Amino acid sequence: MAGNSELDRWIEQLKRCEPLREHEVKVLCQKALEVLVEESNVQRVDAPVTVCGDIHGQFYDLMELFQVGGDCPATNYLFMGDFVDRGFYSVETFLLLLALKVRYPDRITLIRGNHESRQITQVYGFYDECLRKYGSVNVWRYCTDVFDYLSLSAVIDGEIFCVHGGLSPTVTSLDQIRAIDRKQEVPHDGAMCDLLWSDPEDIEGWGLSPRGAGYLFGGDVASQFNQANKVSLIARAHQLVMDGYKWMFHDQLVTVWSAPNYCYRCGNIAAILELDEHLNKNFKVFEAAPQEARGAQSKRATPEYFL
Amino acid sequence: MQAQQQGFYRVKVYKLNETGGWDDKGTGLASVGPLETPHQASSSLGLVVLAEDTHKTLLAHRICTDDDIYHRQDDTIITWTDVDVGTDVALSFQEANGCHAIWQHIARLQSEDGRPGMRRRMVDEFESGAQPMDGEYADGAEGGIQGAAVELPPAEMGRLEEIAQLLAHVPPMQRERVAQQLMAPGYLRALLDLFRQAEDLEDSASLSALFNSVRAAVLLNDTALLEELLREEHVMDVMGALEYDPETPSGARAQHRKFLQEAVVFKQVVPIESQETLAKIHQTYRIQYLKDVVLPRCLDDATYATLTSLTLFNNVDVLSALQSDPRFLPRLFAALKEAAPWRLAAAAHELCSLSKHLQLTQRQALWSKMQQLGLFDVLTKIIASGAAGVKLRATDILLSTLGHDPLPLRGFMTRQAGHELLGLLVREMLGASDDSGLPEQIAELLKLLVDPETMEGAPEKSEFLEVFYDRYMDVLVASVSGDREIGSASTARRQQQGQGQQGGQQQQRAGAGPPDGPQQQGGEQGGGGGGGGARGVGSDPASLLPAGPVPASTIGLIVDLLCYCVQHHQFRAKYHVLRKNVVEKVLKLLRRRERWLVVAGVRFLRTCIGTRDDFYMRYLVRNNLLEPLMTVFFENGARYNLLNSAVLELVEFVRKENIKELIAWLVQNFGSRFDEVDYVDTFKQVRIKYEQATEKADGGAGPDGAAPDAAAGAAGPAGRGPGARQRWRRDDRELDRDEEDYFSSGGGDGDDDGGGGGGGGGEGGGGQAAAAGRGSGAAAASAGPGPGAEAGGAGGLQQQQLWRGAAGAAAPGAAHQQAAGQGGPSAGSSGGGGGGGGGDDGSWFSTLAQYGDEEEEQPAGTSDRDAAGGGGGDTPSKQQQQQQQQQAGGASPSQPPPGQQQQAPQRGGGGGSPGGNEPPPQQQQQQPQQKRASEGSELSPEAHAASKRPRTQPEGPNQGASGGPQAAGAP
Repeated sequence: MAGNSELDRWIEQLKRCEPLREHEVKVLCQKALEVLVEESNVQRVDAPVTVCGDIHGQFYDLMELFQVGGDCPATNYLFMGDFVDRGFYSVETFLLLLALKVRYPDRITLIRGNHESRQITQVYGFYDECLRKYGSVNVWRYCTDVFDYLSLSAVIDGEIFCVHGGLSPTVTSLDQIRAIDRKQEVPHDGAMCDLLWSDPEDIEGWGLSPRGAGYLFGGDVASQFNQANKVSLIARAHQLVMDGYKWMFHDQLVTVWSAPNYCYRCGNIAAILELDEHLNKNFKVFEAAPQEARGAQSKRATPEYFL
Repeated sequence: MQAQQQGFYRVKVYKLNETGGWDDKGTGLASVGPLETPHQASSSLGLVVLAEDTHKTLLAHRICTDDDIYHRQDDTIITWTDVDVGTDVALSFQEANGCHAIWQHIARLQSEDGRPGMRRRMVDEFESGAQPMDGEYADGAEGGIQGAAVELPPAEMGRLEEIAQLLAHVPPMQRERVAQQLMAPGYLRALLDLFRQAEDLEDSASLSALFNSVRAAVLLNDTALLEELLREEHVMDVMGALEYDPETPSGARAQHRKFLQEAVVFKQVVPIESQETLAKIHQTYRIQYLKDVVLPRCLDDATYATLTSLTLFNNVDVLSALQSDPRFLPRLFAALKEAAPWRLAAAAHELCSLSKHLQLTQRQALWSKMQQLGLFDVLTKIIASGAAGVKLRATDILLSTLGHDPLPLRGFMTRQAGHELLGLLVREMLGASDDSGLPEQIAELLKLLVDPETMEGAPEKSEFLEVFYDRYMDVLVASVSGDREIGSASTARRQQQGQGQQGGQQQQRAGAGPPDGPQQQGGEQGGGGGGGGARGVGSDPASLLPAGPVPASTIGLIVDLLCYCVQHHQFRAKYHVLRKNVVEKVLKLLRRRERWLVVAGVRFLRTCIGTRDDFYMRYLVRNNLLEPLMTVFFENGARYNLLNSAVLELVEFVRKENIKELIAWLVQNFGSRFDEVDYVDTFKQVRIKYEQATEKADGGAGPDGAAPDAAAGAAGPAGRGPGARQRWRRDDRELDRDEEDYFSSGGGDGDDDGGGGGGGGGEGGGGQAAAAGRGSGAAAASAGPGPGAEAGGAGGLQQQQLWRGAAGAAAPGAAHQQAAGQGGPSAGSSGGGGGGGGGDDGSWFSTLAQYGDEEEEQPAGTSDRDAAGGGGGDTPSKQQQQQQQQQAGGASPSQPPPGQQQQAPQRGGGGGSPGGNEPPPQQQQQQPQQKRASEGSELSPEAHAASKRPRTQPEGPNQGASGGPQAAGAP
């Protein structure tokens, strides 16, 4: 198993956007399982912490994020899912975050997004990327197995509930999340699905989600939830917001989005939410990494072909 | 009328005609204002164009806020598909600021509609469009959307900038024309010659212009031009020009040519004679390179799609050519049979994986041809003795085969002498080195192989499964439990001794049955075409176990596979699990150091409980199999981790499903510790359920009140209601309400009929039959083989009665718990034994009859009971089936095989919520995917990109198109 020195080496390598070798990925992922299996569905996180939204394989923008927010482990991070798909470096992005998690389990928290799923990654790029970079799907298998162990949500100092998507009509109290066996593919309905798929919306009560999974929930729902669970804020990601963050429902909910110029063309800026030890909030926004910072080649090609 | 009024902008209006051309509808002033149309809400805003000369309305368009239909092209054109008019409309603005103003208006209206995503989407379109040209607008008002006809200047060094500018701003309608000009004889060549010169001169300005020109040429998205650019004689210069991205610092310049010329190697493992085919192969690679490496950031979706389809067509052409080449495939296979170096296998793999793009008939032909040429034998050989990398390729090919049609491979594996290939796969999975990637690959293969959805008949009939279960299941289970002894022999022997009965001979047979069984003979008879014999593989399953320990990661894979089997091979799996005491073995994982394997063990137990099959429940109770679970749970204490959640979920499921046997067991054995779990009320609820059930049972059973719990009724002489029947048959999925209600409303007395209701009516007759047959277990077996369903049914009934009698004998009166406990593992292990007797499936039955014999000499009580247990099997419970399906969809660890999604049938669909006591917040949540982006409202980033990029599917777990949800559900 990987010792710290090996992990440090991998982290350095990944920070250069060089993927690990296949069997190294396997070792890393096994190690990650052992860490993640001890986490709870609602992971407790202590402030100060920096909360981040979707990354989507935009590796160089993640580097930008660390520039802006500080390095891990010096800064304590909470990433709210959607590490993969869309961008060109899902493998490097996820493996780097995972390596950091294994190396500094108490300094970085990763919770699951709706893209951390087998079906979704087969459509939105991560699967293809693994196949292209490794010539086999095993890396994809290792990573998607890890996805199943990722925590579903987090609570910062008992005050701020963090989740990728939003609320679920079947979850009125945080205790109800406890009895979910999260080690499974993201189901297409039920509490676990909703947590990863729902969106806030200016409606009353619950609404059907146009995404085909999860629900839309209104401000009243958010208020009730916050009161019932004695939290003051829901922090979530999952939706692109042009300014990087967006308040809703009289500051009872905030969306944080950390993929600048999403899909390399949306033109949005990204944000992270810094919380100090008193939970004072400070948004830091940042733009996409300049072209020079990116590798000359966006993707690597397989060097041999037969047909 | 040239004066520009505030808010009015001079435009030309165009409508698309049937022939695809744009009709000029006149020039006028465009503005945004309230629309007065009778059909619309008065508040709706519209885009109005009043004719310049007549002041007539040229256009009145209600601005669509539910959907993003507007496109902005260049800086002066807005187009959309107008539903009211039934065609595309284009507004060509005289000035860019007019276009901008109207565009902003539309954007505002859409974002006011409360959808932040909308704004983004529009921004998207704008941002991804061409770079604005400073103050210079190619098409003036006169040119309109057609623009002034673009004429490329001659390809000369001095005019490169001009060419680049023109190419970057070709109006859409002129793309084809411009592409033609680029393809005019000599033009492209001249341009690329300029590139060579500029590169020699290190003329960076010209190189930048050439980069922009070539990129723009690609983005013209003209198929003919793309093919021209990728021609052998041009492609390197094209790639060269694309290295000079002015935005990339010169030090980091891409090295496309170097890569393509030096790093990339085209391997001809078998000579391909047709030059045309060769050229296609090279071109395909370059297209992919262009798409994935050179231009991924600037390709628009249309061009991306064009390039993708170009590769696809090329692949199909290449495969067709190779297929019809009389020498290619035979040579390839001859070479593969000679030796199997990595490259040969990789070539074969590429061939196979590309085959999925072929049309069905052609694909079929290709596969059968390869099979005729000995594909499977070759693969057997590779897996037997190849290097690790080659083996991996071989398994890739097998996966491709399964993706196409699993039947031939299953057939081959069943018939092959000694089942060599299957045995080899199992051996490799267990014994391959930890980092080879083989275990994962083979686990996937096995899962596809045992998938009943792709089988021709019921899984009970599958010869393949017969072989798989009889010969390999034990090895897999042993590798999980860490046993060095294969099969149930050890367990069975223990039971045997415990009962103080029975000679070793029968037992031998039960234990060693698989290898000696009829399958072996069958295999040898049918084993034509097999490779070099069994080579030790398969003749003794124990030999498949590696010398060292099986890696933890592999154990995880096997547990997943076992879960899959329990979920999908109802009867077969149950039979195996009960007979071989598989749960107990798997639960040894609960003592593993790796916590995630502990959780895997819990998951297997949960999967068995998820079947809601009484036989599993009784088996679990009899063998105290919840004991290790609860022990590890309490050891874990209140630590909130995955183990804690998984067990809570399991107990919660038991409670919601009101599985009485388990509830009673939990309360009786661990009730004293329930209070330790104060962070959720799951256990409190379990106790309440138990108490309710006990009260009811007391009330109902009256004198039987001594029975410690409702479950006692189950064993009591009062007998079994229909709920006790086995429900394994997979064809009877649709359940009628009544039966379902029966199970759910059974409430307190549930299926155990504390009061004895089960004995009534028609079953009385059965009782007599049972009495007749009671003498020995053999009777149960002999009652079974009735040829038809009817006979089977009778057998079932009879056995059911037998069961009752037997249970009565074993547990007179009450105290079921203990009685069952004493029944011990033997009862459990043979539980499925007589089951087939009730089945109406002849071939399956014959196997069972064999086991029936085995049980002959067991103590009557046990034997009868077990036989009877299986006997009800012809009355499957649909509720159970449904729930199983749900279970499959929900909690199961699922790994949809990539590329297989379409085939994944809908499991886990419909159905109410399990447990049914938590109504959804609104009606039924009809997954509203149809509604999605087209109807506007929230635009998920996914929906957005999906609509932009044709190759992607709308995202959402329920998008059938991608096979998503089903595949997701299908474990």
